[in-house]
Amino acid sequence: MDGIHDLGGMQGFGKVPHTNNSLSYKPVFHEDWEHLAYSLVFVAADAMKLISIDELRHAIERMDTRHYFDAPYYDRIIIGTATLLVEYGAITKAQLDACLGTDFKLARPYASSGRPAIAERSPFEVGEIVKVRDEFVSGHIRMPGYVRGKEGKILHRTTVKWPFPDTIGHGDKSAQMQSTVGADRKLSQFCR
Amino acid sequence: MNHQAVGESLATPGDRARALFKVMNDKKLIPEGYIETFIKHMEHDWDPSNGARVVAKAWVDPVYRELLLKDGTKACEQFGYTGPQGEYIVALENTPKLQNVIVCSMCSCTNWPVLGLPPEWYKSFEYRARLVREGRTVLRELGEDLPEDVAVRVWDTSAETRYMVLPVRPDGTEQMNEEQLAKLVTKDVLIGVARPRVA
Repeated sequence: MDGIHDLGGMQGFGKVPHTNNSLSYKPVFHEDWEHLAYSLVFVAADAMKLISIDELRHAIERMDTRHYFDAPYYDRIIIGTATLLVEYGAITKAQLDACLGTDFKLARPYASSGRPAIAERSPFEVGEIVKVRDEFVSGHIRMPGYVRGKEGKILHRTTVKWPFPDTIGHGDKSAQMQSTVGADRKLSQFCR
Repeated sequence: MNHQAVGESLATPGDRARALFKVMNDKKLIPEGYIETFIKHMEHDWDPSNGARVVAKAWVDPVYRELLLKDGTKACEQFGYTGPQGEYIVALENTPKLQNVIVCSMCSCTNWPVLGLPPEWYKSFEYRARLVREGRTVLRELGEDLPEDVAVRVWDTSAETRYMVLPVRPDGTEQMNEEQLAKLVTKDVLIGVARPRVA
């Protein structure tokens, strides 16, 4: 999905709001509700076994562009979790609205039904030069746009396989398992 | 007149989080004690001092270093530092001529058990957009002005691998024990935006 979440390489942003080693990182949470974001999504994924974290990522990607850009990080987690719970019928939007006392704005509906995993091919080996597929996927995908069609060298092949995000990110639990690779881009404009 | 926009402006992110909690709780979807346990993990168990201990051991123990670079998951598991968002761990070895830096350009993926939850700046649009394109400049702005002959290699956390940076042990630390060494390894060092400094 070529959405606003795919920020890698985008220009026009100012300085990162940080100076090295200036924070103690305690407390972990700065507002009294922030702990709820990860807690509630793990209730849905781990305790209820209802959703995958891939679906959460995709739900957040499905937020209206302005909505996404306007909402703080933990707010996006809450909105994504609420969207999935409503879509699965575990709760209703009416209940959320009643509880909030106003419209509880959710993410937009799926624009795509996802896609099945690409048939298993022989795995790449470390050192091989590979090319990222030059394809456009309107559903969930874990390929940042800046590597599309680019060549790079394999530095690592995972020893574990995981469900294909383009499938499981749409709630399809039949997602085929695949290993992933870490690649080093040979891109002068990205390697300054 | 957009009534929806007016209504939205009255609700804060905290209001939404509490509303979702209440609706889920009223439906009995939240197991007893689940959130309390999860908070304990997030606030206490998952901490950058974990990664610092791993790095310090790798600096003093060549056998452990080899394991960490070959099988980061197994090396971190020895300390009990695996868990959600830290199930497949890869340690990135810095050299005098290479600085590894971690980002998640599409969201915020971080090695929770080893580094702790991601800080606000790591999740910022600025870091996500700029690091992959102008890493050297971003590091300079953050306070790490790398010599020209040091390459910057950015690792975008786009799948299930969760990274940690293994920095170069600084000169002048020959007499330090593991505990003293671990103090040099901050969260920012583990992310890769900073190098360890001897005070």
